[in-house]
Amino acid sequence: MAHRILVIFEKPIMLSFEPSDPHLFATALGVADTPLEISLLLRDSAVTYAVSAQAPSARILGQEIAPSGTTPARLVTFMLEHGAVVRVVREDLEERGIPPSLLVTGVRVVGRSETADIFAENDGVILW
Amino acid sequence: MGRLLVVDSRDLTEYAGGRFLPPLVEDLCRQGHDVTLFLVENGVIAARRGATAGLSFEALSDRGAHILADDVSCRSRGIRELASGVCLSDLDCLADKISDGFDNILWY
Amino acid sequence: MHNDEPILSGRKRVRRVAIVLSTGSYQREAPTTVLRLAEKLLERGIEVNVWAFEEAVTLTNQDQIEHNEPPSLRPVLGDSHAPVGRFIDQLLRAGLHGAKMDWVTCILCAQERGVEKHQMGGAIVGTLGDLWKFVGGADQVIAIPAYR
Repeated sequence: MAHRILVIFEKPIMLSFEPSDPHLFATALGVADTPLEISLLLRDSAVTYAVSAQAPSARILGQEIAPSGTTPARLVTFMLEHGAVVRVVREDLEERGIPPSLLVTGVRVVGRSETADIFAENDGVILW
Repeated sequence: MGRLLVVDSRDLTEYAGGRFLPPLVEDLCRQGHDVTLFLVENGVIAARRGATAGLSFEALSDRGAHILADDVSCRSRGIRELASGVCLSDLDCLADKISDGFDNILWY
Repeated sequence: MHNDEPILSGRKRVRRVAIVLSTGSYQREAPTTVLRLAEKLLERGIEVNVWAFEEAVTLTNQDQIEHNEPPSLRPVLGDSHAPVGRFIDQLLRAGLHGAKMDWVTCILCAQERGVEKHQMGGAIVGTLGDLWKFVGGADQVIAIPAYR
């Protein structure tokens, strides 16, 4: 039985007529509503999800397409509050000019070399 | 010489093809074209100050390229400071430029 | 804001833009950008012809509904959200009183996905030939790549 699940995000999806990336809120549901031990690894462009100052908003004919104002950072915070471990890859942050000071509080920064251990300590992997 | 638009909608590091985009813009500028590089969606990730993929933007701007980053895309990704050579812009500006006409448009 | 003056000597004003879109929504931002840009072009009196290919034929499925979000996530996601089709419908209707937008879905892609009979009013089910007519008749061609 898989119990410890590693969920990996690589590419951010913003403003897609969903309140947020559907993979992100599907993961949040697993974190909040199931007994599974779910952790997240944000790498490549998806490290953007851990940046705290996101403000998604776009209007078409005056109508807001993201009325809830949900941000990936808000969902990351939600998952942290529900006990999930959220890691971001340091090298991918650095490549994109994101200092740790911009990240959501509680997110752990890990080196790329640590991802093998993270993979090995889980029973299942979902790479969206 | 031509008036050309290159739109980048992907993180330049995301696909192997991304690494060829700045050299393409540079070559077009060197040939004397009037080139606009418009960054939108995940294309603005390279425009964050400090991003490695955006290091070439200042040189491209010095060569005459107009490098613009969509404001909606920047805000949604928490990008507040732009790399040298990149100006904050919006789709009104892009629509104005398209209205005026380009000789060719590449959307990457 | 960037305000450089375009070089326009002798250039003919753009009247028609063709947009080739090959991606659906919900996993890509591209349809959002297309609709945002289409609105701006229509405001400027430019005719917009969208040719929807592959997954983009689902954007005009009339059976999209505004569903409720999962209860445990409503504090974060809100109660519900409008589907993409509503915005396309409104842009098509906006053309009644100004520059118009044509939205043509590829019949082959629509049939494969079972949405040919589910297209919203205003969307036209067309052929691959329409793609090339749009492209050939446009002052500007914008093709959004269907990258994976």
